[in-house]
Amino acid sequence: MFVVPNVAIDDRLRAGLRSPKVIGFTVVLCCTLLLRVGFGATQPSWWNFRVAPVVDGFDHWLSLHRGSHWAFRFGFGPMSSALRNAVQWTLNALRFLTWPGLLVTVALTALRVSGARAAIMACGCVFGIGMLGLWDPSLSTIALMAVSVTISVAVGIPVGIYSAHHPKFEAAIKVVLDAMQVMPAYCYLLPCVLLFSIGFAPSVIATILFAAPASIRLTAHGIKGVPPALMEVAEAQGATKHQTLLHVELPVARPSLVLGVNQTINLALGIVVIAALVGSGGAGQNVLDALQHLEVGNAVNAGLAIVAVAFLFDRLSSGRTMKGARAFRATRTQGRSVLEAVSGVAVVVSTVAIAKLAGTTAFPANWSHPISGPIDEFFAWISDNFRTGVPIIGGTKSFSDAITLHVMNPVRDLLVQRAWWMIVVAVVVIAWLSAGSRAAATCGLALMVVAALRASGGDDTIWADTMNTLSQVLIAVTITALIAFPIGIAAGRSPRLFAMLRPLLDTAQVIPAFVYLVPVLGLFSTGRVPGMIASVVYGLPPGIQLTALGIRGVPAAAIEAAESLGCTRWQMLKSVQIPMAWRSILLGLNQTILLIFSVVVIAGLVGAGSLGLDVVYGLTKHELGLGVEAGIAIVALAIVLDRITQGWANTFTRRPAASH
Amino acid sequence: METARTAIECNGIWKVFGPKSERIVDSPDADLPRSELETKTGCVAAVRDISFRVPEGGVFVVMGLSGSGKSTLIRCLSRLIEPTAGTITIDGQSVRALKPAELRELRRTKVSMVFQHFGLLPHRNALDNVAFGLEIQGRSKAQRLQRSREVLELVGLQDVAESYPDELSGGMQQRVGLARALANDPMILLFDEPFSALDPLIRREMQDEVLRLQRELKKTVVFITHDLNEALKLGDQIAIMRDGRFVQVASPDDLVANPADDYVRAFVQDVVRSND
Amino acid sequence: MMRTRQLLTATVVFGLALSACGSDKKAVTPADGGKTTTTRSGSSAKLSGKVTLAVNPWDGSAANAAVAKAVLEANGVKVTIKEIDENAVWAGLDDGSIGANLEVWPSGHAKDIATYVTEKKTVLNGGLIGPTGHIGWYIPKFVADAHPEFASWEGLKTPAAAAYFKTAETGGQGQFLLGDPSYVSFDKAIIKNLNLPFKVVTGGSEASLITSIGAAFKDKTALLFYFYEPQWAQSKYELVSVKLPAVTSECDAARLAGDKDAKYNCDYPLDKLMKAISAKLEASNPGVAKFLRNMTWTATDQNAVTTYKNQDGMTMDAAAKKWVAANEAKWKAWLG
Repeated sequence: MFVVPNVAIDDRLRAGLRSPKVIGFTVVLCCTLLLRVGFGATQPSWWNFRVAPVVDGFDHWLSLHRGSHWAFRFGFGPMSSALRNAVQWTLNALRFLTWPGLLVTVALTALRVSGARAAIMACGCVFGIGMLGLWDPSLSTIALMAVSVTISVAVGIPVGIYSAHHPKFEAAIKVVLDAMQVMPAYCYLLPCVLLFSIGFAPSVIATILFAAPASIRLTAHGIKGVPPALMEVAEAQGATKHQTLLHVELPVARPSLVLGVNQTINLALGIVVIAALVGSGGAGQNVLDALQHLEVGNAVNAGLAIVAVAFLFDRLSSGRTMKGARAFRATRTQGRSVLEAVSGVAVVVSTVAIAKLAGTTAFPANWSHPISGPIDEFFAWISDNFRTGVPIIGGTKSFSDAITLHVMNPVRDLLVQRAWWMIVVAVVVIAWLSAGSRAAATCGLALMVVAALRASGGDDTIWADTMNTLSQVLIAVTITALIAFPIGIAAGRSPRLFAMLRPLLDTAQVIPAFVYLVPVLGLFSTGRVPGMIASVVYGLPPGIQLTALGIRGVPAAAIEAAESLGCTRWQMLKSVQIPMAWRSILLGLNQTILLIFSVVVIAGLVGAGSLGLDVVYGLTKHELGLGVEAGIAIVALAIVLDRITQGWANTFTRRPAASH
Repeated sequence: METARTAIECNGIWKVFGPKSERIVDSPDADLPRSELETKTGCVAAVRDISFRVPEGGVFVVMGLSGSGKSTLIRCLSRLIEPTAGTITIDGQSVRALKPAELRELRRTKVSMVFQHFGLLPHRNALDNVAFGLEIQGRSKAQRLQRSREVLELVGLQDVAESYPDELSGGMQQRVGLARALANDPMILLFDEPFSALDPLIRREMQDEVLRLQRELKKTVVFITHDLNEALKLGDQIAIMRDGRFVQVASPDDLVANPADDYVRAFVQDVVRSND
Repeated sequence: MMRTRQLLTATVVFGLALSACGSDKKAVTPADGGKTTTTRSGSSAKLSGKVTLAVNPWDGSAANAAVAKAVLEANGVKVTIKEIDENAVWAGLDDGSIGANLEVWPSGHAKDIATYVTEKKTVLNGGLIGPTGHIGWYIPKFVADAHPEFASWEGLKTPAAAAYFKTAETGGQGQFLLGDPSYVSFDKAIIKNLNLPFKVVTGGSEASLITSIGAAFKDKTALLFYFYEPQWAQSKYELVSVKLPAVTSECDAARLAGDKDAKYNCDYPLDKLMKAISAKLEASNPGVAKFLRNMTWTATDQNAVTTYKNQDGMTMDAAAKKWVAANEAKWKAWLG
């Protein structure tokens, strides 16, 4: 797993020794060795941050004073009722529209905002929701999403702009954003309940915490990507900062902003399921119920309704392509806009009126055909035929046993049985070689923090659980990379394959990870394997997509040059496409690792144990301290993996850059 | 022309990039060759002690190879790049003393710039690109559209007003850039290698266009180029720039007849030969 | 899904619960023991207003709420059902956004009960709902038929038992499968103290536990696991309870101390399910609060409702109405 890049290590050594950053690295290394020499193989007893007792105490205080303390009466209280009302009003409005009214509204809005194709798609989504038999729960999900996404974007874009303009601020919040995205949403859902009571309010807050980072990040990315030449033009014309932002930066960064909204929607949909835990209902509740009773069909059915909601939002928010937007604008006149708006409202009003008179408010029940039945049959067939008795491989159960015995156990033991200081030193060295001394210091520090966490409650120490989780992530990532890499390359080279895979990949990325867990659980016996398989399934789509995009991003000129030299397809791949796409492939790997990580944590629910289990255990057993400590360990581990893989992406690209 | 008012006057402009750059100005270090200066002080002196004067309605061309500091120099004039030392006077105003709001006012009304890579906003059509400067001045929509149409007509683009930059050829894009610069009727036009990205035929056409506009509108022009033919064709005065300094400032005829040193002579010989 | 956790502060809880036991026909002393509640206004007080009832994600909880809803709505009360996690529900009871939770497994909520009922007094002990929960060790019936000796702990002591129950995760030992780690569990201590050749594997959730049970039935493979009743899967799979040593006073002491020194070596005790009522409901709608405190039924009644739902394919509301129609005498008493 640990590919140590031997690129010009001599140069790096020399540069590194001269760099002032090396101090941080040396300090961490020396501290570790000192601790080792002074205190033996286990962590010294005083190296203990005592996070858990403090958090538990705070939790108790909060339980007693919520409602009476001024912060609740004037802060959290009014805030949660405002949020609750916002969602409730949205929901009431959606219900008031009746289903034909909603369909017409969606169609007209999509037509106006994103064009005819999008309008057809959006209508398809509305129908789909009804056909799946989940009309009312989905309305509640839509209302929750609408409020959460609106607030996430309203917060995310300004913060993103600010951080693009203030590099120090950006560096500071990067850590926070990383933490927010890696932390399992579980971790902040129950604390949110203590602060914001139950129902819609804590769900909205948890969703914002999880989804807004995407909007912040992509906004900042887009703003920073505005060509300096255009900024100079604005300056030379005498534009104020405000005018530059409004007329140059935001319009030019628009694609990135839209992508940010898109990502925010996707992430927000991921919370829908656990939001149901705190009483927000919706289609997420259906997934939870299905999980509770292990009804694969119902889980998939509700999962698809959530996907339809996601696509609906996506179609409504993505806007037109550049070409479409121009053609559209060319036909605009003020009179026409007003006319369209008025007639649009008239159509909606009359549809609603007719629907009310006819008495059709909710989607007609006899039109709905949930697909749970066929899915259940299909799944039953698979689990009857593939669990055991398949020639050669023996079936999923023996596969699962074999993986456990021959792959997962050895890797876990390798990591868990090493003394903690050896792991710290090894990680610091790997980080240093991959990403330089600064990353090494960060990684070392992160692991030292983990070593100082002492909550007990699970079977093992936090440190052992961290290593166990690490072993699962490493294996899942290796398997994902082995599958995603060839498929991604093939899709990158064949536009037709890419076009075929694309809808599949898009859908797979929006289905809540919880939905995968149900069928996987049935096929593979309890333990670490089902969680790992689920995370591989979850990690594959972005892995494939990013690899394919990397290959497609290779400039046509380079391909042409190689062709003119008489390259075979294989030579082209080996010497041109892969090296040139390497950076984006590695960045894809980085993204995939973080995604897989988040599922390995959820997999604690299906017997994968380790950190994910600690989080769930801590929160459900009301040991917030343990939950928070495990959460910190998760973030620390994610930082380590992120820094090292980002380092690869940068190190590996230095090579082709130097040869230009 | 001798009696014309001074539009731009620069005295002792320096631009040094790097730490503690003020110390380099007028120090013996400033005379070091580029690489030695950089290893010794970590600084790069892009513009060194430049002084010149442009009369109202005059065309002042700065000619130099890439890296000679000419683009930095032109950006110092309207303080897109803050000069390290020296004085700049535009229309009697001391530019370096202006407060941010006054500086914006100067850029909005008196000095416009045309860029090498056009710098058109991709999300606006030609008309709206031209109107951009007027928009940020807060003019009404009717006013700015009328004015923009006039200017587009002036550069011969009235037929493609609704087209977007990526639908226009390079030459047309630069005409839009030119129209944008002219829209607010500035006193001074700064050209930063505006035609170097265009092919030779279009380039000649654009040069003629500039000459025509100059005759009609009587703007004061500072023009940066690396093409001596262009310089000779357009300039009243030509400055040859090398390593951040002016090697020679002269009229076109003078320059060809009396090159100041071998460096200038080498250029001029080429031109004379290719013109034969 | 049921939750039973550390029983450490359960003395208090059980004391409270038992004091409320059998009090279904009279006004109940609330948990704080101070004020006696509510004026009794005649034999059948007129009910009115509205109430929100929590439903935790298992059928028993849903059946309680559905029956309460059917009766209350017939008597002019507007009832909202809120599906919510059993831990998050306490925050709702605390601030009054939830009126009552009709099935709390007290041993699983010792900390919440201590905080909200005993200390903060914003949630009131509503007495017992009736059914009793029990945790235990189970094996599939086909295993018990083939190896009757494995239905008691003595039979599990042998190396043959270890070999019979071993899996890839446990190596040479037999596997004992645990579900949700947050449930009360003395299994490690029991295995250690009774010298059983087994290792505990944590499935992580109730769902994964039931999947494993399903797979064992499908493949006819061995499985020894932690389970409990009432639970819907009890009626789907034929399970046999494994006999463990009877509860001793030493075990009770170890249990109440949270089994910190791992001395527990007996069967699990019984868990009397209780109701929790928000103090805000008591203040704003004492009639409904009193009705909910009066409400009590048996495990047989509850099973009747869940069976209507699971085997006859009715909705929970329809199942509740069917029970209400057939058992008028029982719910009439709750209105008194």
